[in-house]
Amino acid sequence: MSKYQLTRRDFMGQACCAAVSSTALANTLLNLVMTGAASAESARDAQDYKAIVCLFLPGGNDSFNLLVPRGQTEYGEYQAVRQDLALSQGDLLALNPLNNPGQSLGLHPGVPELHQLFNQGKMAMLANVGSLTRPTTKQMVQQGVGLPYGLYSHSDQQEQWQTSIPDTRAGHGWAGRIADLLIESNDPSPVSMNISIAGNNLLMLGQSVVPYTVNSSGALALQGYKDGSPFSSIRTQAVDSLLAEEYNNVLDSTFATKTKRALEAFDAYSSATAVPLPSGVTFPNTGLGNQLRQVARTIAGRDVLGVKRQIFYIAWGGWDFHDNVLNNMSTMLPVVSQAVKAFYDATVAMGLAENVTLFTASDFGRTLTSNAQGSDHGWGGNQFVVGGAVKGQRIFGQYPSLVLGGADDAGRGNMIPTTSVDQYAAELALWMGVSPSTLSYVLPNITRFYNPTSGSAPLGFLV
Amino acid sequence: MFLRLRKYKSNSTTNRWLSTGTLAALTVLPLASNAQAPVRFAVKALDPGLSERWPEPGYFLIKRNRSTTEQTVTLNFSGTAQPKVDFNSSHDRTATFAIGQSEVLIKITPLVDSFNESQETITLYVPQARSQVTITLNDRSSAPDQTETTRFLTQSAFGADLLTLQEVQNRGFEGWMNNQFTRPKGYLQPLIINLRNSGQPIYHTATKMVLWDQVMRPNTSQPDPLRQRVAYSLLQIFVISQQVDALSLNSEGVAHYYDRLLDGAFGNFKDLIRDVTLHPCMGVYLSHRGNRKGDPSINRFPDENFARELMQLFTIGLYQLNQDGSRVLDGNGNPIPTYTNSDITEYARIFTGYQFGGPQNNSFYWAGENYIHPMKLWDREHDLNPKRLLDGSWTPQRTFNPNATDTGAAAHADLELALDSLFNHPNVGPFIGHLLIQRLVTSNPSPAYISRVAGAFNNNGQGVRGDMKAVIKAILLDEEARSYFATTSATSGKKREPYLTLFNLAKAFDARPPSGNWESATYLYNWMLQEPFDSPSVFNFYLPAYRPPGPMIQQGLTGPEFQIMTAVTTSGLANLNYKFIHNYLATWGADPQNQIKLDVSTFLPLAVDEDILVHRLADRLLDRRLSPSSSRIIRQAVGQIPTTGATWQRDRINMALYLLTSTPDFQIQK
Repeated sequence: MSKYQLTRRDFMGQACCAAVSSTALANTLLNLVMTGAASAESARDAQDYKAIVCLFLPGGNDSFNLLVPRGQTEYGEYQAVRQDLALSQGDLLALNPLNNPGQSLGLHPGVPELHQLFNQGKMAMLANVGSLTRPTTKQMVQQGVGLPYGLYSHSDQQEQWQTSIPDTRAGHGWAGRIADLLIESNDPSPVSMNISIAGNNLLMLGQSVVPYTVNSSGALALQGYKDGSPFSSIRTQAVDSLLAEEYNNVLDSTFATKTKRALEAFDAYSSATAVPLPSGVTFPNTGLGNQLRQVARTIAGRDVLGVKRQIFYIAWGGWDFHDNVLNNMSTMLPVVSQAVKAFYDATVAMGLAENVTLFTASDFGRTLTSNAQGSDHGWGGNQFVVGGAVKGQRIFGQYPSLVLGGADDAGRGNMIPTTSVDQYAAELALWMGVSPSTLSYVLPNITRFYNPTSGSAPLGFLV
Repeated sequence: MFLRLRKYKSNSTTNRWLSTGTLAALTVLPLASNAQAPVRFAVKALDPGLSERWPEPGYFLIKRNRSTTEQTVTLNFSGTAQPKVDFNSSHDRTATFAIGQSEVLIKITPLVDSFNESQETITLYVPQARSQVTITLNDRSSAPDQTETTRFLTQSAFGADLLTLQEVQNRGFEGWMNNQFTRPKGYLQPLIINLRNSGQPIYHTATKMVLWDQVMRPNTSQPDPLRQRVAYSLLQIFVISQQVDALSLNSEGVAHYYDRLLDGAFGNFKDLIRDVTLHPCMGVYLSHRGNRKGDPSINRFPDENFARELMQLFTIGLYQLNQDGSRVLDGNGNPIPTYTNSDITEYARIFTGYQFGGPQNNSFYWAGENYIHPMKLWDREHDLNPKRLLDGSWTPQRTFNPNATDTGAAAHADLELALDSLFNHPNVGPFIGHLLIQRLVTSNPSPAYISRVAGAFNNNGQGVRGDMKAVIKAILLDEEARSYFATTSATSGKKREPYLTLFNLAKAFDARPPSGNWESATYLYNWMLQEPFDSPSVFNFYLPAYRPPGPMIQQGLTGPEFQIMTAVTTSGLANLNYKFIHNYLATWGADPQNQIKLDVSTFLPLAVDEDILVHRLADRLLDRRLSPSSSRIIRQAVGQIPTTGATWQRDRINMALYLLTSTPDFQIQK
């Protein structure tokens, strides 16, 4: 206990040196804006359109059963640690990557559509990604040095995937900070660059950018407001007047501002998303399919909204299977696979396959060991990226050794991540148009993992 | 007459130069004519009852029917209350209407003194209106007025129905709480059984139906709204959710779990966390049901889920706290974690050997589902080895005789030690106190307030730790919860929980289905991202530390309920209130007998005067007096609805109520 506190103090002390506090970040943004650095990197000149779509799998996807060792030796190691949670070797969908990940791997049998995208070069896998404060060895884990706070906790690890600042609590996320820098790319609009179809979240919230939230059937109209119903004009005028008042109490004013913003954005968003999707585009009628269809509809309205850059957040499922993990995953992964394929096809139909990249995230991977009913909270996990700009049919990052007690095992088969969320996010940020010189605004810890001026890509999964 | 005719001619001549011609001239005539009729004035008391003990200002309203000129009216104050001694007035002897201004508000601020006085009066006579109105001013020693009482019931119950309002005024706040402590518990489980016995199929909706049944029980039937409100709030701390299939299918068990929170609301915190730990619904939700001791030879380890959340969410939180809720800092100014991952591993070993209970279950390995009886503990699957507790002590080595009856004695003994180690942790008072203050009173309590509540947790005055009655009293009777002046700061208050807006409307206007069946108050989650028993995760609908973007984030203020105020729910909640006010609450296909309608019949006679109507409706609904700006905007809107047609009274009430629910005055509790 006391030893842990000492080591924790130790690392917290070091973390103070990084520009991680809200104030420091706010000042950084202010400086970037004042010196013109932020707008210099904006994509206003560029005629292109780019969007990234975060598919969050809340609860902690047991993703070592998504990307699975398939070769004889490595499958044996996998089976030894996973016991009753191991998939059958013969059921795995074989991957024949263009690069050499060092192991022969396969995909869960429930994702044939993703397998197809991989083989077509439109999807890449990322091995063993997780939140890290710095490159982390097993020795550091054993000594408790330099670890993210709240490891194995849902709320903390979700937060850290979204902030990418795992050594302190930040009130905003890296996609929000990307939007802070790129906001000049878009025409001024009440609809934010960042659009969530799955509620409020940290990822999309920047220092200045606040995400816009819709649901999977679009924005919701305010009844009795500007709709020609009885006394609608009287009501509309009164509602507008109430919201235009100055309120001294900050909760009062926050309520009024949020409501006002929602009404302005409704008008703009509704007219933009009235644009029909290309004929022939269909989505599975699932929760995830409907969310992705709404993303596609919003992208189709990009010119009406006057946007060159957009970031979307969707979330689907509860993946916290302490129980019955095999059955649950074999039900839920096909839903993901079919919806993501439909979305990719939609971007092709819109002529935007190379302009839109979908990527996954989840709280954490899970313990490789079984609790006899399921798996518990882990750390590193496997992710995938889909899109025409993806250097597909490859596996990026280092697939870990699954041997219990091995070099990558933090205990119970919790994989110490070999790729950080910072590196993953950096690749996406640079692709979106953030310049290497301002990357550390988006990712304050990035230089611990990657030299932004090196000229090479953080991971290389995007062209 | 002659003059008027000449004027007509003159105007008509002038207008010949304009292409509008005679028609324009004709329309000018009545206006010009009216200008010479005397302007009519009216004076009203918008807030007729003020009080020294709740010295929130109130208003006289002086209106005129035409506003084309500047005019000054005379104010004659009389009555038993002395200006500048008993009250301040925004105006002394006159009030001036500027051009274009049709009304003047006279602000009356009660002055608090230490004298015992009988009820006083402030009478305002306006000669030009030829009428006078009176505002009464109650002494500091008087019973709480309607606004103050409604506010108390907004915090301590689900809003104010008229009879409960009067009861609280009669008993006083503490007297009412003391009486509530003695009330029979309004359990939910028996109501579910009644529903089933009446032939109703039991879905996940049943828990909401019986909750509404208990919350809306009339004052005459000995209801227990304080206990219900505390349990409703505890459910947002000790979260289980019917979004999990197993619980969705077992509403009776979930109701039974809620009943344990009703027990714990006025019980001892230690018993509460034991009940929560042993309840099968929690066992299923956080997966310690079926938890077995580890077997390293096959890499099997105890499930850590419940152990973690018990510490992080239910008792002590992540960081060591001072009694006032601030974080204890180490020598480098950094917060100190309360536990490490290895502590979680240790506690996970304590919660092993847990299985469905009930008389029919006689084996750990072949247990039938039972969502009512406490889980049964089995020593054969319990980790008997010593486990390190948070204070560094160890549980003793336990033994188990496989040939004797397995009573779970070792597992129970370990449980008590584990619960004691958490219950006695200094964090519990400030941690749980802060969470309950946020649910009931304010989002951003002062450290001193938290410290007083934590003090009551640590010692109820008779040396007992964890007495929830003492905690609830400390929260609701604290000066920061009760003083008017605490509500006037720019950072006070909390966003009203969206779900509570429905209860508050229903209570204020006695909304109930004719059949007594509450099925229409279900399927409400998607309108507002909140519905009891349906939290999306163990982290509740919103996080206690959530900071909404904008000035609140800049000032470091939390506003948990803002987390679920999205562009979607902004419209969703408003639309649901619109439907509730204009029509009724009803699920799709609901029997008309099950529709839930507001009863506004007593307000129909007031509808002719929009000024009085709006303020009397506000008095029923709000926990503060309607602000001058909201008042003006809503009165003007309601006044635009003509007093003709079959439904004009109801149309005016609907407009007033809908706009009232759209104001920060309603949406933010103070």
